[in-house]
Amino acid sequence: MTRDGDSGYIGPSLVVRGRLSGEGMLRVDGQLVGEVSTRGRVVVGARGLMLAAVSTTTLDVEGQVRGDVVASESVAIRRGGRIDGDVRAKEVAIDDGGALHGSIAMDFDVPGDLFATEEER
Amino acid sequence: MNDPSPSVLARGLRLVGNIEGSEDLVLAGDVEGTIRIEGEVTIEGSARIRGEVHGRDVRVRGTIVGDVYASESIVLEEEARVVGDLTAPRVSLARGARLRGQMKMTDPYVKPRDLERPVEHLEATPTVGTSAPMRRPPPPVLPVLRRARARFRDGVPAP
Repeated sequence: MTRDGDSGYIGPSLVVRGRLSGEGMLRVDGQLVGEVSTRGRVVVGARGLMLAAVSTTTLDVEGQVRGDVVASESVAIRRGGRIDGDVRAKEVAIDDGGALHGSIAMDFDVPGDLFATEEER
Repeated sequence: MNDPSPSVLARGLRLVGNIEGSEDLVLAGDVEGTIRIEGEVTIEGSARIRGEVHGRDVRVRGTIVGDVYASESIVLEEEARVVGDLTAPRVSLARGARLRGQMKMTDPYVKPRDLERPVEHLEATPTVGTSAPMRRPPPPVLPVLRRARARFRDGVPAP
């Protein structure tokens, strides 16, 4: 990940408290408490810990996130990663060894007749 | 248990009723009812299940409306379409799988981690707009999350 002006980076010794918003990418290897809202990709490194509600396009979790997540594209939880919270996204992938505790809401259709019992039909 | 437990429910077959047994089971047809297997349950892409599924390991490639329980693991593969809760020590979702429901991992590989530095110790940091150090401790983390949860509950906010 480039360390240019468009990317945010929270190093392992940092604790950030507050509301972070903007357009750029963000990588968190430290601790963030509050809210994150960005159009760019958010990556939580293995040592990262976010106690925050997150709104983004793509969220990649190798560390821990505690808060509700809304992603317009995808959420990926890698081995060793964990989300405690409700997740709304187009796509969610959880690798073997990843954890999610909360609800998942993806937008998709299921054949209507599966919701009716034999008697109802 | 009235019916013998089949090893394969073929595509094109439809069962309204329950399945119980100890051997592995492959479902490629339609089931309306409860499935309770002590082995591995594979729900193929052509399967449409309405009801609860219980197994040791449950592998999903088809459509389920109902809750899924496994004593070891649940795996949702790319074509899985599930509306219901997933309860198992370990659950994995492949990219492309679709789920609407509660995720209950009873023994995940990774446990929740606490803040390395407690939030209270940040009281020495001045808040924006003041030059004096804070006189009272900052509020605990939970109200921040509660307000954030309420704000995000109603839909996707514009980023």
